[in-house]
Amino acid sequence: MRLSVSWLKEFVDFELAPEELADTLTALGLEATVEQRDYPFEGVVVGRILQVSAIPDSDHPTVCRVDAGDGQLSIVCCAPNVAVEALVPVATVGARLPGGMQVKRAKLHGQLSEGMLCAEDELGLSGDHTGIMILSPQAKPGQDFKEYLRATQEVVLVLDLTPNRGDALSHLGVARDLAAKFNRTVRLPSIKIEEGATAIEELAAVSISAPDGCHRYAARVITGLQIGPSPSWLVQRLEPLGMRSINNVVDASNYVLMELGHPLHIFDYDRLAEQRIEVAFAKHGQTFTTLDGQKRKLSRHHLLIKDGKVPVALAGIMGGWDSEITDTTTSILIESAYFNPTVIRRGAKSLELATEASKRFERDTDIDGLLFALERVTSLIAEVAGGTVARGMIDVYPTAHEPKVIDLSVAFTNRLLGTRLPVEEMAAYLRRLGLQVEGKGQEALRCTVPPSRPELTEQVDLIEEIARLLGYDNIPAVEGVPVRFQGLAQDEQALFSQLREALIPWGFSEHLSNTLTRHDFANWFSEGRPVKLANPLSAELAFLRTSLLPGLVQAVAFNERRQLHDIQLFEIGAVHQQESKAYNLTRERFMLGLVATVGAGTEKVHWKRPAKRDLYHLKGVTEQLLVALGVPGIAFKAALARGLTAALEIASQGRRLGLMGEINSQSGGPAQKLETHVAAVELDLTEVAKCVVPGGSGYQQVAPYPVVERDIAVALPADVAAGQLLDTIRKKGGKYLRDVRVFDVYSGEGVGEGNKGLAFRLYFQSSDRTLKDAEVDVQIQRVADALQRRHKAKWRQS
Amino acid sequence: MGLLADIEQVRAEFDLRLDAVQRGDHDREQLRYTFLGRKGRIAALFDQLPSLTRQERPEAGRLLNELKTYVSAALEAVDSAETGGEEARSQALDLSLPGDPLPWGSRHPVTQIEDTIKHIFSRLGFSVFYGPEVETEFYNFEALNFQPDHPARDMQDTFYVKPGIMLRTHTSNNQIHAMEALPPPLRIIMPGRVYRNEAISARSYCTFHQIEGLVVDRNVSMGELKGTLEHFARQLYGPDTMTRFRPSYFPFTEPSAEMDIYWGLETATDFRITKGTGWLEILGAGMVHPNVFKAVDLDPLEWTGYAFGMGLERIAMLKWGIGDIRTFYEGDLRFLRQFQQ
Repeated sequence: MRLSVSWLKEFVDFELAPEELADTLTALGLEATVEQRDYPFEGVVVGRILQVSAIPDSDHPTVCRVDAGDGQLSIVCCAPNVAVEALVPVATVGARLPGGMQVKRAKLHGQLSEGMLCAEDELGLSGDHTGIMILSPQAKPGQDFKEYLRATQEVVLVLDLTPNRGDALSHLGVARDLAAKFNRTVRLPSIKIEEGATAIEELAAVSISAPDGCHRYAARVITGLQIGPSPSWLVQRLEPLGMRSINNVVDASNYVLMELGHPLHIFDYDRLAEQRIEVAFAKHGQTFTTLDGQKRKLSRHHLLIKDGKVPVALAGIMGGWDSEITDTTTSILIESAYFNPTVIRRGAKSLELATEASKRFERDTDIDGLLFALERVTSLIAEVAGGTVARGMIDVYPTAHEPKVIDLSVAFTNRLLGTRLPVEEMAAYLRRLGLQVEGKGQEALRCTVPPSRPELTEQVDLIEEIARLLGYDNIPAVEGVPVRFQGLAQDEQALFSQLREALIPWGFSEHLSNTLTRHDFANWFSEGRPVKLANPLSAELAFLRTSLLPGLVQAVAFNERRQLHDIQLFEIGAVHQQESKAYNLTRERFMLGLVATVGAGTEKVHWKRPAKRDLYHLKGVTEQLLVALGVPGIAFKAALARGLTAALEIASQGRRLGLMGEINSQSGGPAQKLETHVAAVELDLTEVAKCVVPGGSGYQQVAPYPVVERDIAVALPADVAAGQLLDTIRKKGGKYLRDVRVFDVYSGEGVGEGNKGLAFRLYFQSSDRTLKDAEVDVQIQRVADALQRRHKAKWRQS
Repeated sequence: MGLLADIEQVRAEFDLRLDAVQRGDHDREQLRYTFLGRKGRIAALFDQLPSLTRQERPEAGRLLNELKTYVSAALEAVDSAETGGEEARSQALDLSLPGDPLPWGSRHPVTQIEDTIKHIFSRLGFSVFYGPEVETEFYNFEALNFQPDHPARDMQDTFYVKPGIMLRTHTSNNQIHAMEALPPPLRIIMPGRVYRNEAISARSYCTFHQIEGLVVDRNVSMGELKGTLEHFARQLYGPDTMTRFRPSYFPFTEPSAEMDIYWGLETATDFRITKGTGWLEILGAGMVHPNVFKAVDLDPLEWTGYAFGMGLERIAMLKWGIGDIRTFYEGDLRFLRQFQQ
């Protein structure tokens, strides 16, 4: 909401600069900033007209000598209101005006013109083009015109109000808080109504058929008024708040809205056929044309104002097309009512129609204050539009509002705030806010809430009010908070930190994907049924991912398009899948995803030529990562996996931990835009966490006896997997075999067509003695025999 | 004479292995150990001496000593080639060549902020608690005192999966899960990803991260909230950080507050992000609303508590001057690699 500072001063006295006022309101919970105006022009200064001379043979144009601060200018002007000594805005040569126009030196009507005198519309300040803008005497020739405007225009505060402060959506509401803060009184605007002879009951009737929706309905009638332009004081009040002047009656109604905060509605009395107002809920499927010309379809929860049988307004939201004020209106019926906030909110929400009125009604309004608003607007309309006010008002109020009474415990208040406020101070704050407060001994206060603050409903609401007036800054901060608990002991996801610490030194950068994605990407790499959003932003963002890989692969493609080719990324995050179509709940798991570009095209240009990366690299990363976490018995097994070629399943002791494999750049989907193949791993961290053995694989004393190394090279059919040979070696290597590694894989010369060569290094060690060569030789022979027998692997002795 | 032949064979074997050492294929120390060790090959030959005849012994002894000298000298020569030839070696080096490019990735800036905040609060005795992203309206709204058909619901635009099931709009849902799962007193922080159904722009993204905090105990006061959060701000933004608390509104806390830090007004950006006030909001907080305690069957007269929450992307954007929130989700390595520390 926008707030005019000078208007605010009509209600309460304060001596604060605009910034101080904004700070004070912010400290009260009404977040305020001083509006910073930017003007759509450059190079405009204040000038004083020194001389005006007519140009012969032209209608209006004159040549003005203008003092623009640093020298005199000669400017041709067509406006009728130029006069010597007038202070005017001058767009000098080179100035830029709204719409991109640049002022140039020109010859007009045969005369040289060194600039332009400006009307308000030419500066984008208003639509006014009646003449050159005449400035107040405080303007100084040569002064930057923006500076002049900032000094003289109305100071406006912009309020960013929280939804609980509907009471502050007006100048009076804000003034009440300020007055409470400074312990001053609020001045209410004056009301002067001269009633005519005709009683309102002879002109109109009101009934409420929906007492749940409308708790009170008051009305006044004015006849014989004249619609016309508003007086300038009224226009000038509304304009800084961004409200365009319509006509005197509508402006008066808007004025009271901004002044008191209570929404009013004005009907053209003569366009109400029966002049018999009834408040009732709509029928299902009923349509109604609101004053913006939109035909709207209603449901049973929409509240209507009807004239007889005909709906004339959507209660509390918007008036109707057929009963709106026009230029020819002469009589009006003014509505000031209290509508149920829930009803208004539901109605406005379902029509996606938020108005100044609905915004206030749904935040709750002052059920008693509405009468004052009615009197105030009646008085104002009579003042600006004339007419005769019918005698009396209609006030239908079936069930009187029971004021809310709240007991406040002094001890609890101090306990919650961490303060030692005496009971008198608490009572004083609440009284300043308009509450009636009675003491209940020294322990408690019985507080009656005024109808202007309907959102105060329980004790903590009052505690907040006390804290607001005390000032949050005056609540003593407790330093050195006592610690009673162990920190971070329950952090199951300490695992995440371990993973990051391991992956970063290997060159992986952490990525965070958008968890929302399109349907086909969501489960491109997994079987899970993705969770669908009922109201997505777009089809591209309509599903929750079931795997981290689509996001990571898209990030690889993003980088490739930017000429980056050496890409290693990881992500740790949740994936979701629907458990079954019928079942409402979804399964959420935390995953680790790794991707790395494969093969050529690495950008590691370096004289030592580091090794290329491939699928084996990522397999090593995965294995070492799991070892580092303390996962025993890591096994890889060939598998079929959606979206992956050369896939492996990763397991530990029979528990499936995840998958790895290669993502083919031709495989479509999220991989569609890839330039190279990508090696990828995805681990289910919930499963990994279950496999972690605290303390890892334990400690074994280092044996003091030498390790004997032996190599075996074999030639074998190319389709036999090395892993099978490794299994055989481990099985047949005897009890002293400590480790075996593959140190060479080759093909071609010496191994024969369709064959490959594999070379293993075996490490033997005993924990209690030095092994003899002969016993190791026996073991090697056994291994070689087994390789030959089981895998047709021929021992190639050099 | 067997021993003499053995001596020759050991010498030949040594020469072969020495070649390997010089080529770098074999370890020098292992060679030394194999031949000169207490139970090494040469020691084994010496062990055979007593079995020789008195006549054979001197000659064999001489040959053996010669072998030992030879082996020692050869090994020493290898040693000095490695250590003694310093000058020649260093002349062969061009130290202006770049060093090995070690791989090094980066922690995502949002993770860095999350870790920093976790550490600050862990030193204050806070534990970490997690809750789900796909959530029911009960945990996200109702239990947090968001009344149906109240304008407070407009504060957070929601993605729904189906009626009643939604993506959480804040990490505050974890407050309820935590109070249901753990008996008070509680002192926890709750990081996580949240979702808002808002048009994507430089300032707003459909998903982002928050950290929620919750303290429940007997006699927890707003003064303690202030002390803790002021401490936090000084830890995160430096010891001279100025803070202010001002009233605000969240349905699940009352009194509610927002904490601002003084950011300054030195640049046009400062002016824009602080709306000309110099103050910058960094978190929302407040005393746990009695209705929230009632929702988890805790007595609001016995227990009091405070809660706070903050957005991590926002903190990261301020810390590094990142202008567009979408940058966090692109995976651009030119961006990510700037966060290697």
